Amino acid sequence: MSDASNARPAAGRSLAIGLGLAVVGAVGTYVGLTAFTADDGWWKYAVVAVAIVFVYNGLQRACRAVFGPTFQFGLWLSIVWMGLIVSGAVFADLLPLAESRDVSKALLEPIDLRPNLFSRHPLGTDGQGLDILGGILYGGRVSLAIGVGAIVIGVAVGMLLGVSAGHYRGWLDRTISFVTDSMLAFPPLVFLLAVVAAFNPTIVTVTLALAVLAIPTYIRLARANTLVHAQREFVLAARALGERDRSIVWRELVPNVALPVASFSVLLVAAFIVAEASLSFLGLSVTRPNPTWGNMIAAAQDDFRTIPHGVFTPGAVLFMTVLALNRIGDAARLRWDPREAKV
Amino acid sequence: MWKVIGLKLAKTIPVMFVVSLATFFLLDAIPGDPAVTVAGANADPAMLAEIRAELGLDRPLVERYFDWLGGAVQGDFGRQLLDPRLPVSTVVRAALPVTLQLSVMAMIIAPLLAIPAAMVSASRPGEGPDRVASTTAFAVIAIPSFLLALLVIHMFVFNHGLTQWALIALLAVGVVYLADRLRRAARRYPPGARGPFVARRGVALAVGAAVVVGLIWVLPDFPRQGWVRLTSDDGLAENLRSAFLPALTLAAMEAAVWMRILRGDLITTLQEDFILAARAKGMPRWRILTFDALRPSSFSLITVLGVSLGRLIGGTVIVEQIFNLPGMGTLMVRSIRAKDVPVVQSAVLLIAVIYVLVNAAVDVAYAYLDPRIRRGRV
Amino acid sequence: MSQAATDKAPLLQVENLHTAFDTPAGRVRAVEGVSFELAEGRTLGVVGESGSGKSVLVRTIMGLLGPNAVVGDEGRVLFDGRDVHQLDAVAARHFWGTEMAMVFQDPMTSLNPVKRIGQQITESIRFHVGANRVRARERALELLRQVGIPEPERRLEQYPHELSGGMRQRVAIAIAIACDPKLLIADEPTTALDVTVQKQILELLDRLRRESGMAMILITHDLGVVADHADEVAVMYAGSFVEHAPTAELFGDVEHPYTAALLGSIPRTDLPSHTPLRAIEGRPPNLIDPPSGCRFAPRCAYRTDACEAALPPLAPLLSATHSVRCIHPVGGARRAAAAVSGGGA
Repeated sequence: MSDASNARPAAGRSLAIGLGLAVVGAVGTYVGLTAFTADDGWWKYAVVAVAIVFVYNGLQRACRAVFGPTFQFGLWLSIVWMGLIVSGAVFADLLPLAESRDVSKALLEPIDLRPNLFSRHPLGTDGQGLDILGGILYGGRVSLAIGVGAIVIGVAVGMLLGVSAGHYRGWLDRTISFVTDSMLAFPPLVFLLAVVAAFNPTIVTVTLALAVLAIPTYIRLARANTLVHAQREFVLAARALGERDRSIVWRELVPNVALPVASFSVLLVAAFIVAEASLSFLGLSVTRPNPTWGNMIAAAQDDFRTIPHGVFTPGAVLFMTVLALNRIGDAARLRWDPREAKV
Repeated sequence: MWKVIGLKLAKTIPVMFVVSLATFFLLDAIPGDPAVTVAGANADPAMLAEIRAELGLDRPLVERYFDWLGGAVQGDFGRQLLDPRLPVSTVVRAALPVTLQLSVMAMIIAPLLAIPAAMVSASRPGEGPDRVASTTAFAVIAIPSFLLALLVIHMFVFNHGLTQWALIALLAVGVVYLADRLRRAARRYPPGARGPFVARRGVALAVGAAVVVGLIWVLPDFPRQGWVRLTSDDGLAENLRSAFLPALTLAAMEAAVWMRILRGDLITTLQEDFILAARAKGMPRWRILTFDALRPSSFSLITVLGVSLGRLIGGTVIVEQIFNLPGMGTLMVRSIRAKDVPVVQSAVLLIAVIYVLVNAAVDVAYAYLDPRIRRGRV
Repeated sequence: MSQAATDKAPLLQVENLHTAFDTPAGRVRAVEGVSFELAEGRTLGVVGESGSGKSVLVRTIMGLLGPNAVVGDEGRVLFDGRDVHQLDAVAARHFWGTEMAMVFQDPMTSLNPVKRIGQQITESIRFHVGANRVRARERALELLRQVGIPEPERRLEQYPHELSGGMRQRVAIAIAIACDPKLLIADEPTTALDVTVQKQILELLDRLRRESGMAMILITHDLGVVADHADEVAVMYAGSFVEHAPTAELFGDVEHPYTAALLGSIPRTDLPSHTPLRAIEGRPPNLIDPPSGCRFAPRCAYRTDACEAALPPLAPLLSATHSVRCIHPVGGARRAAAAVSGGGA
């Protein structure tokens, strides 16, 4: 139907326009971030914002020209970003980073240095001379460890209980449902605060506390999906063939329940990263010398007016990570959990 | 109808019982001696003994629980461990109104933001305004509350003037867009009627824009932090001034979530047959959107509303900390840091109870809104 | 074309209407070249199976299509002499409901479930006519009585789910005729109802039509319905009319093979039991890539090569009022043609 011969030049032109926009945008972002001083306030952010829109649209156009018109640029960008964060967290020790944890080792470093991509401190330093980029990468470790860890525990326990409740019904279901409702009736942040009050905040305690918060939600999700699938013919067929109950649960129900749970989990990881950051912002999670995104922002908030990059740099990283996870989670939900797909 | 309410309230009682149990025992699990926490390790042993007796630490756990619960039901929550050792109820009574006022203000502002945005988005999905609104909502959802609060402070407190100009610029963009829409709509009118139509809509647009510009112009200077009580000398104006930014932050977070949900629901509802039938009756679009589509779409919004309110009441902690407001959140954080167990127990219990009641209220509202449930048939 | 024997200009003139939908799979050609006229006070029955395009046809006539519909420029819909799709905003707002109205298939979904019956009737009266609340309510009561709903005062305050299916459809009809439209389009109004109720609703529609003189387009898949309740019948297949005639003429002398097959597939009680039901072989054509030539040819028992070569036009073969889209009609026309060409019957 379309003219193949016309498609190539059009794609080439699109690619050129896209790359052009992206370059203009990149230049604008760099100029905006470095040329303006803190006092110029809003204009700086407006320029940067517009430039970022340019970069995004330009790259999107270029990618669509290369990979086809239905290429989901936002989704792939999110995946790339998460890859960066994860690899940064994993390989932080191997990278040539300036000191970001031990203050005594950073005594000679300049404090409150503005980000400069080509210097020793690509993202600047904080009020004590500690490198921000290093802090972000190590902080990423904490966030990912806690977020993913809590989810893994929550999924394991939650799915076990939820699938059992949905499959066996009866008093088991009633008991589990009541406990779940009670757990969900408790305001979550208050629970976290209470746990932190009772037990000292370490990575393990925060992870376990978040896992406890996750479990009732997973129980509900697993149970609902189990109920839906249990009535389907293939379970009845398996029963008719004489399969034992436990085998039915494992081989028929769990794989079907696993996909919606997986897609929901991505979104919940994002929520937990925010929860952990909030806790460490309040000083109730991992504390310095171990940097986390939350405690870095907390330390920088007093000088916020004059030195905004201390807040906005780790803040931007946190924001982008949550944004990326939300994007991936939405896409996963669309594919794996058609009941929950948003418009 | 009253039976429904009564039943739902009755169902919350076992849950609240469990919640109170959890609250009590959770905090009782704190390692260390609360008496030592209060008075210090080097304190006089006699005083330590006195504190321990007052807290009832020498009595069995279960007895202490029922004692506490009995007192709590009557409003006696004991006294705080920190100096000055005020009754907990006094301390809570000073902090609770702050949090409540914040939550209420947020619950008022949020729908004002979310509902019009969702309606505009759903009426023309995929087009300009929808893409802007949806992207903004998506971005706001991704911003943690403390970052949003800091951002709001940066905009409205540190860069007050520039923010005003930025808002006016945004308004200008909006006006240009609406004017273009008006121009295109006018072409569908016969030449005679075109003039009055444009005049009517144009005047409305101009007046609206003028009002918004006026509001932006008089945008007051908001304080970076602090709370002025309603009962103080400066009265309502100062109270609102100190409460506005925190409430706005909370409202923005909720509004973003609501907007996405409502938009999705509206788009689904607009595809229903009765909407088509309404169009076949000749009803204009905006009327269909408001009167026919909004109500059936609001069901999941109501559920989310309940979650939001609960989240607000339990989650104003961050915002109170950043804006330094003497609400329940600050109280809890301070007490947790100081391991002031009685205060934490009572604050947590109070918030949990409100949370449960709010969720029950949402259930009731849900039943009321859906006449199918109200009239006893589904 | 079929036209009632009057001298007045027809109320509705549909000329060469084409409607398509752009989908990810391709362009679906739902209506392909439909033309007809309908005089005041007459009922046209449109018969066809699911997917034949009947609903799309009437929605195009009303202008109620969604954003992905493409209406061909070559077509026109003239109502009372005015082009429906060119109406300006002022006129368009009051066109629906007052000139043309529609009753949908399933009253459970076409009525707003969270609005009271009374409000759904009065809102269009108040909007179009500007009546005040009291007068609108009186008119609503009157309408409910007209459509045969007992205790109308009570019904006004009720919600759709509190009424039975038949009553809901009566309410939908009341809403449709509230502003005295000149044309009522009923899109399978009885398909979702019990058989006994179907008869009542159809008789109601007949009575209303006689009392007010409005024209009607009655869409159905049931030949029995049009036999009793329509003045003219148009049989629709794959987006266009294959046969169009006044009812008595059509049933007296079925011409198109599809119409014959439809009639033949109706189970008959006068035949011995266990007589196999005669279904029409094959399936309706793919509307994205329809066959060239006659659309029914792949399923037709009488097809020849000539049938698949070119699309036959809808032409009056035997009489001026009876049009068929076929080069091998199976009824009287065939016999006449055979008599002309070779003698013998």
